[in-house]
Amino acid sequence: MDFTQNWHYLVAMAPEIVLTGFAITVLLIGVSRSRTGEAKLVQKLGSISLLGIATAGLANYILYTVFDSSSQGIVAVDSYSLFANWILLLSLGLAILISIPYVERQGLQAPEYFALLMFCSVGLMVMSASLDLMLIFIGLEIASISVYALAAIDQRSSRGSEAGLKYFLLGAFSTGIFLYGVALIYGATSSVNLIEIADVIATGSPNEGMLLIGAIMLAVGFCFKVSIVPFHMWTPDVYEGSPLPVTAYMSVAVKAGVFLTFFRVFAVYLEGVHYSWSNVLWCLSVFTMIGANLVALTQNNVKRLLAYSGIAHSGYLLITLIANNATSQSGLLFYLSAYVLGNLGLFAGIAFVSNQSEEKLDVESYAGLGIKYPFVALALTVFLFSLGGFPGTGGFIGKVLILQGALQDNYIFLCVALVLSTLISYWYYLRIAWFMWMKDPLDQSGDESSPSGPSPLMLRSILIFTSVLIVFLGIFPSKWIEFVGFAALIK
Amino acid sequence: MTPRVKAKMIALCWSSLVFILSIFLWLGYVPEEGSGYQMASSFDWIEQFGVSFSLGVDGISLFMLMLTTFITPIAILGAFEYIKKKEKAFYSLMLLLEFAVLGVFSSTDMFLFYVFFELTLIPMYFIVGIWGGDRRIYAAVKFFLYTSLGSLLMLVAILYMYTKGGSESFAISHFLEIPLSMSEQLWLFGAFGLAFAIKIPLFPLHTWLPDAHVEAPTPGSVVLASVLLKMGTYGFIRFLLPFFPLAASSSIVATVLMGLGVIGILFCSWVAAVQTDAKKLVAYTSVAHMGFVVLGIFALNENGLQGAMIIMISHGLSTGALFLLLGMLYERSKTRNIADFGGLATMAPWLTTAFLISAFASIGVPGTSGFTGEFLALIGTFEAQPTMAIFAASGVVFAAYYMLPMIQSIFFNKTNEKSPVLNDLSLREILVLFPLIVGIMWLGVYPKPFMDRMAPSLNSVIERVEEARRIEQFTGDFVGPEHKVIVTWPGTDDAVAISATERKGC
Repeated sequence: MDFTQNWHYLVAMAPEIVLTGFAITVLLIGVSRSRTGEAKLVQKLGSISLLGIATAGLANYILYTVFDSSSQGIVAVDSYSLFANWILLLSLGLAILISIPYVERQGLQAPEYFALLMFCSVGLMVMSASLDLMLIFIGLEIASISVYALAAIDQRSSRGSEAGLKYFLLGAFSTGIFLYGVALIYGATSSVNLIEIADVIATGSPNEGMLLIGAIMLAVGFCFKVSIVPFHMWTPDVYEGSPLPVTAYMSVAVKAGVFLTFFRVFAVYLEGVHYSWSNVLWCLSVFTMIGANLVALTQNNVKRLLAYSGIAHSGYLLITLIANNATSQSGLLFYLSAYVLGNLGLFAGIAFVSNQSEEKLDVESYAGLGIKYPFVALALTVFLFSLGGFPGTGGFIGKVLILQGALQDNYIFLCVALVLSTLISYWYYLRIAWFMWMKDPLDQSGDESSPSGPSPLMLRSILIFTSVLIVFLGIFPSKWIEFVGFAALIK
Repeated sequence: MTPRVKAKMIALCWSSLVFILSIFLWLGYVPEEGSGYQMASSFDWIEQFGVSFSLGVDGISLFMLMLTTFITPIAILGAFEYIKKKEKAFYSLMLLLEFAVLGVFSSTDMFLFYVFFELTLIPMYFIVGIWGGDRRIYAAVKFFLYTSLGSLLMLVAILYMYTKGGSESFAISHFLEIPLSMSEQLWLFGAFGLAFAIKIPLFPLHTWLPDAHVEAPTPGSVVLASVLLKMGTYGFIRFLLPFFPLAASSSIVATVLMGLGVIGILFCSWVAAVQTDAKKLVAYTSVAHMGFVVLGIFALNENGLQGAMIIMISHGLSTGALFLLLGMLYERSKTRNIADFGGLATMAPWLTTAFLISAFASIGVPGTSGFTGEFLALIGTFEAQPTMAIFAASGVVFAAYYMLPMIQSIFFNKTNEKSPVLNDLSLREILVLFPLIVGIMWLGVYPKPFMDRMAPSLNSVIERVEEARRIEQFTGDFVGPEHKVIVTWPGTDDAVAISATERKGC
């Protein structure tokens, strides 16, 4: 496939197209039926969405037979973009599984809800595969606008509306900066195609000053989306206000998609001007790691706590861009895999504890969980240790890869900052763990509020699936390291 | 059998089985073969990193492994009456802890070592946090964070060395051949040293220990004192000295560390003397004993290192026994306050005898294991730095000063109105204590089989440091950053290689 003909694009974007088709189907079914709430409708739509994900996954798998890393189109069909699709489809699938009981219980508008989730994933998939700044922008906007709407999808919740509006206003602002950056880069290199931009940087004489300002603005746009300090202000509020499964989805999929694009643009195609942006990102990374972890210490709401923990993880991942070598790239991909599993698993646990509502989100609610539900608590402990980067979990191997990548390029200070901020993060991860295992339950009776019905079964299976995978990644990581090495852009 | 009894029995039988297997380790180890690893085995683990699951035993790790397998079943047997809730979880965590510690002492791959080193934290965190006393969560988290601080920096140091060595392998034998400049050695020495010094714990870093010991349940304290602390001193001997011989042999480093050891001995002896809580008193004596170990190690001679090893074993036996005895007193009387007891000697003569022997070993009375170790360590220190030895020797006197009044008050003073009426040792408790006391006496009277086995390995460590010192003198007046020294492991290669950038040649 060399993109000499237009239908090649249809093949290249098959997973996105399939997913869009299913999203529209879900919408149409919803329109043709009565509006809200029925449990059956939710389950039906959820199953259709899952089927869509499976079909898109199949399309993605088939793409491995035709993929061509030397493609000259504006869409890359390389193992990197296919890997990104796997990650995004996985997080979408898990997010939908968490969503089904939640949407059912809260009576949200199921068709719009599932369709928006899928549209968002389509946007992220487009973005992480594109080799053109304009297409990246389009993908980013598809994803962002879907998420703005998702954040405010619960009309009864004022916090949800606040979160949506806040996210929208700040997001629009950052999009503006991003676009301005694209314009400046175009001005400097007279192209928006990443391959041509890289050529101009390598051989020609770009307008240096304009290019650098453009690159920094582009970076700011990305940093906003992955919530790097000081562009993170929206994150805790939006995470807290959004419906729980939406928060779960945002915290992994948006971060993964944007980070994979961020890496492709900066570490690969703007690598020629690495000297200019790496120092800026270096500072941002240190601020993010230390700042976010320090603030997270004082949080009592688990959603806010995970918001800050997510910001800190963005800081760790930023290191892989700064030290853009093969090891750090494997680090990015491996760490993202472990992060997606760990964070979604954790959110499934939170949904279990809060009984698919926006209550019982403070850390005290976890008191005595180890006595009441030992297996849920055990799985949550695994996720917490993985996010903390403890040996035996996938998070540890990811962290080791990031550290190795940074050390290969002699970023010793970054490594020390990473481990010290990890130490800070142990405190709040352990805090949840000690509430679960070392405190007695608050209410001894507590049966009326304890989860019931078929939903916990679904959540339980997510918990088992993700925790087993995380431990597997931690103990037998070889195969997965090989796989992410195969997906690498930088060999 | 109820599930609870079953859990106890499985834990006890399994850990005893491990001990029986480790006796074959002892019998199979041939000291005449020299300093290398014996019974080594290796499997690929993470090929991309060059990480292998490789284990081996030498004269240093042999004793630590034996100590671990010996102490764990005793601690488990000692827990039978003490642990009353969530038994199944408790005994599985104890076995997990044993697994992790055995991994630490036997791995010959740095990555594997690090994984096990960190893994020991998790079971200990939960053992202290779930079954501990009133301030258990504070103690558990303090323990966890304190020790993580050191080990995370050590992770960076390990990865730095790995990158420096061509990102090929994490094997210890590979790490030994990585050329490092003096300044690199000092930094890496600092990172490794901090991790181990917190674990030991060395003087200003010891504050987590009294909390963890006092709050931990008896079996937790026993394993913590007898085995986990040894991971620090083991790390000093196994990694710090051979990896960074230049840094270790520099006189400032040795003096500072020995100085901290001496301060630890004196300071903690005084602190121990004013404690009213018997368990806290014993906890502080641990810090003092570990001070002797550090002193012996940085004397950097055969006597010092052998003394250090013997103290490590002896401390494992005697402090383990003391914690078990205090736990038995606590089970009977629900108090650990020294002043609450009195006149136990007439009520419980066997308990008193056991306590006396263990306490004498802790003080270092001749005929017990404590004497052998401290005597050797002090001789070694005297050979290296006589002043230090003089101060440190006074620590032995202080040991009597804090230990004897406690014994006096608990066992021999007149009973007061508070003092409880106690039963003597039960059969189970005798079974728990008897092996420990045999060990104490054996090591005190006839330590030769121990010393024969550890000597070759310890000597090779010393030789490596000496060699580095010699090269430093030979190459003269500089230790600049360009100056790279490779010291080969003695016995593997005759040549002592000095790599390219020798400034005299330039």
